[in-house]
Amino acid sequence: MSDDSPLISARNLVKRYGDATAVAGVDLTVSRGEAFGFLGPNGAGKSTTMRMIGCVSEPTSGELKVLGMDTVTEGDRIRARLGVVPQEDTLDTELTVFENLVIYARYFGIKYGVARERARELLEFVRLSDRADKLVESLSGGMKRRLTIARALVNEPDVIMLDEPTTGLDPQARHLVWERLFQLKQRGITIILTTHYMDEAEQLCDRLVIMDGGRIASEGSPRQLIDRHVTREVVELRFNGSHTDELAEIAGKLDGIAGQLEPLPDRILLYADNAEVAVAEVHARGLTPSSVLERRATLEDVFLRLTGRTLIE
Amino acid sequence: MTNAFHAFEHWMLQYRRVWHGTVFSGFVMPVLFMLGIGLGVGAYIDDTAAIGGVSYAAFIAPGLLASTAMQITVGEMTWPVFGALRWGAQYKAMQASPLRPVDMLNGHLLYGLLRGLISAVVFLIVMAFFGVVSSGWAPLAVVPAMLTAFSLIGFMYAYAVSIDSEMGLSIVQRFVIVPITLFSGVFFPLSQLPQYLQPVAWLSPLWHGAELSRWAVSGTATPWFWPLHAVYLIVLGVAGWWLASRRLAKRLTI
Repeated sequence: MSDDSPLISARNLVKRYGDATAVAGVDLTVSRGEAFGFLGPNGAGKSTTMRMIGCVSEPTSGELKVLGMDTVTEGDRIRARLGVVPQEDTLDTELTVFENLVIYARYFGIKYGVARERARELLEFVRLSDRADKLVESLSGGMKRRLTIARALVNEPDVIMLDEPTTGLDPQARHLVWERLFQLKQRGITIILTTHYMDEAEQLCDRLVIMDGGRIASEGSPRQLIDRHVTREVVELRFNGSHTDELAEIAGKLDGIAGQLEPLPDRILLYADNAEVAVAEVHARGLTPSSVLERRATLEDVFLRLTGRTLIE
Repeated sequence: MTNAFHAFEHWMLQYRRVWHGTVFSGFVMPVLFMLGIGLGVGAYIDDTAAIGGVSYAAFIAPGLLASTAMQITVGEMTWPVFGALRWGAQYKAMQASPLRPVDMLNGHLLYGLLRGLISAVVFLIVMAFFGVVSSGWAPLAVVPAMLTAFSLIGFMYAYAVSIDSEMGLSIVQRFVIVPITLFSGVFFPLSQLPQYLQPVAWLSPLWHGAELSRWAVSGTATPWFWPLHAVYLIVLGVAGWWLASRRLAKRLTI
């Protein structure tokens, strides 16, 4: 396999469970060294797509190649070169931190001596060396996540796949995980992750897809997605505790000021290329918002525009 | 098969923490059996013609050997397998590695058989202490004991990965394993059963294992030509393994 051929390529990938369609025709390509993200609400099909890429779930139809190999017929050969960090830790709680790494390395056929050496290095990398002989049971959530990441690196994978790597972690733990992922990226390891944290996606991903209802709603770099779907800047206007109906009425008076307008229950969002100009126009129309927040548009704005604000559970 | 050994190593690593306890209980159980049933119940048995003229303790010991190997092995395939699939993360972790479902299966079965083998060897040592080993061939009784364990291991595994509630595990213990233990010619010869029930007992793997084991320990001739007993156990075991590999693959590939 040459270096410029895609690491992952999916054509019209579909996964159905009975009548339910989890993934409804996904096309994507990930290149070597890229940090690629799947964003989307719960049930969008992110994890299912990841499981198919990780060769633990077979596509119902479509074509999926990872590292140039077919995921159905060559799953074990592909898995030998992947590092997987699942959404829920699959550590062995009855074994020590060190044993977890060594035994996992054995699954990959790595010799004991090499496994022990790598375990020591990786514990250093994720700052768990002092816990090596402790049972996994005694670790905090953040430590378990770091150990899972270390374990996923034990086979020196070409690709590391992380399913919501920082969900449930406190800010310190999240930042440590991000730092380590960033270092991996610099070493040229391809990173694929799912997340619903927009800051995580913006920090880590070169390119991402937003999934909704089992399909890809949009694809691009964080910047491209913002440019494509929302304006450069956003103004958030509040009117003295006015609510839904009153805000809808006020929104009527704002018509035409900005590119897009979105009344929410507690505030109105104006999507504008120039926030200052838009705010001046609001005042010129005789409206006096109680608070005005001008900010840059973020991936979160894109996400909510594409996947809607309805709570999905 | 190398992959299966890698999975096996995992179960051995866990076993390392508890092995001394299992070996200890491995000694206690047979001692209690030999004292309570072999000597205790045996004291009431005067007419030993039906059991081949040996003492009652000598009659039941080889069958108990096979029965113990079977129970320990099959027991390892109940909650531990159900738990590895349902509660724990062992299988999920293995799934992300190059191990295939069949490797995970073989690794776990190997471990179960090893546990059975340890208990069989321990049982044989206890038997020697009780003076019921009269032939130099006696250590060979471990072979039919392990064949008995092998004949059921795959079926138990297949069942443990197929059920949705652990309730089923106790049901199998009570309504399959216990009757097999009681009505397989371990505690009394099959000839004591009503004529029409005897062919039913032939289905029991333990009967075949116990008869082979008794042949090795006391030289009592087997009811059938001996390879037939062995082939029956092997065929059952292979069928069980095949079923288990199908069930596990189905469970893991979703």
